[in-house]
Amino acid sequence: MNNEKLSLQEFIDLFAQKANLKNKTAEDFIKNIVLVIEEALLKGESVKIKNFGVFKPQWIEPRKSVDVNSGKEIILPGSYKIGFVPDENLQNIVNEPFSYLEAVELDIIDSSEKKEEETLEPLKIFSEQADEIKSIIAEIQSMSAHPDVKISESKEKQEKIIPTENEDKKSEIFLEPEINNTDIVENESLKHLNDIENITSENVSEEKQEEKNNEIFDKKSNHQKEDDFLEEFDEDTKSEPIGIPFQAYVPSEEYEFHENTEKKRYSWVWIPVVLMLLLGGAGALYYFYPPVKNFVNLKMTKKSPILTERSLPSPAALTDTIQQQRQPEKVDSLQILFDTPRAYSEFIAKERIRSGSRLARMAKRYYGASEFWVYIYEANRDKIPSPNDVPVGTLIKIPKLDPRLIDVSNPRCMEKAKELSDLYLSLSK
Amino acid sequence: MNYKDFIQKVSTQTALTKEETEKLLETAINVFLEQLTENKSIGIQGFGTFELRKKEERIIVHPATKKRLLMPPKLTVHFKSSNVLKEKLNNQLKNE
Repeated sequence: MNNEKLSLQEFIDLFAQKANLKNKTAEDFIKNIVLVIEEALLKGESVKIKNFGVFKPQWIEPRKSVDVNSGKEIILPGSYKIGFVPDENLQNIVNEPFSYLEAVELDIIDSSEKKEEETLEPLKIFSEQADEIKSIIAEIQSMSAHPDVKISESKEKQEKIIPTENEDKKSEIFLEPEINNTDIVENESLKHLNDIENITSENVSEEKQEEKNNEIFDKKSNHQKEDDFLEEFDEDTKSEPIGIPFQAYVPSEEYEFHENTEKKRYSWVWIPVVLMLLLGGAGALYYFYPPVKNFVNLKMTKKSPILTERSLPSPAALTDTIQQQRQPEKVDSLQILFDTPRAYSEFIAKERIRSGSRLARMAKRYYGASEFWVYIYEANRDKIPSPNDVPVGTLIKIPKLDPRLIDVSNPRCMEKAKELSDLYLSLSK
Repeated sequence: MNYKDFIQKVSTQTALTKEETEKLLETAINVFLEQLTENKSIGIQGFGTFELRKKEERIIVHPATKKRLLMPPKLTVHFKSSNVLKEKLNNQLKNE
């Protein structure tokens, strides 16, 4: 980012000019300063200069590195370097261009990431057990893949029950780490052990029940051969839940757990996205569906009449009540302005429509608010078939408007513009 | 070495009074700053180079509150010592 390098001589020239010194004396002075700093540094001392900064010799520890050419690990020897910490004043002056920036807190990302870290820790602890369990599950599945359909059905049931149970437990687990952040790992792992014990014991009992049901059902309805097999299978599975320590079931638990945390994380990401979509949808509805827009506008406009009414003594002539309510005397001239058909004779600019051009954007540029596009449309009606479809290449004239008509700060002007835009948009449909 | 000692030393070397030395040093620093803010680096032979560097924005975690903060980019004065000085320094200090 450096454009120019200033040599010491150039610097000394500038300095001599500024300080009204001969070049020679200026040079001596600067060189002496540098010399004094250098001397002190060579003695191992730090040097502090007011309004400038601190020079300090720093010891860099020997460190490992990799030789880029050979790819071998080498050890870089420790060395001294000169550190320079600029003075606060100096720093502030130098940082002028960025001084308006401030640190921003990142809250949403923070909480979700934290959760990620917390939940990943216990996973590592149990990852070893995961392999063990995988093999056991595979065994069981290979058995259940055999003839009887009902067995596999019951298996499915079991599987369904386990996840839902786990989810409850998991939500509990999820809440707990947030409360005590300090010794998360220890506490969590302990809690996990407890939870898992509970879950597995429940699972085991459920499995047993299911199996018993199977046994009865199958024995009644099935052939001898299948019965034989079933008995075998039952014996196996019975002995397994009891014989296998609870650890064996942990991994499956852990997989589920992992999945769930991922879901949680995604849900965090999705919340703002969904909100944005909803807002976008509402906005689109507002702009493209005239009835909605009318309704909203009506609601918004209710405020202004009330305010103006209060500020004015209610006039004696109550000829037209509606007229009265909406347009108090003071702004009546404006109303007249609104009601008189606008004749566009003067123009301030011409624009050619390119792809991507929008009347609203032009209005924003020329009049200060996008709502006033209607007036541009009015002035160019002969060329624009529909406000939503302006042919590319059309030469648009930007009319000169009465400044009262396009007063951005006046809500009535905006109102009028919106009214007109509703009118034109509905006409074009 | 603090500022007082520093001025003392420079003044004896240059045969100026302390006040004069301080004044001159101040102007020197001002000229120095002017040049730096114009994005020019200043090299002093046998000593090192001062230049303006931009530190990119980065995310930090506040150690006490555990809040994540986005730090804005900033400009700092960076000093790179010349190799001559570095060697001198290493020879001197390592031999001690």
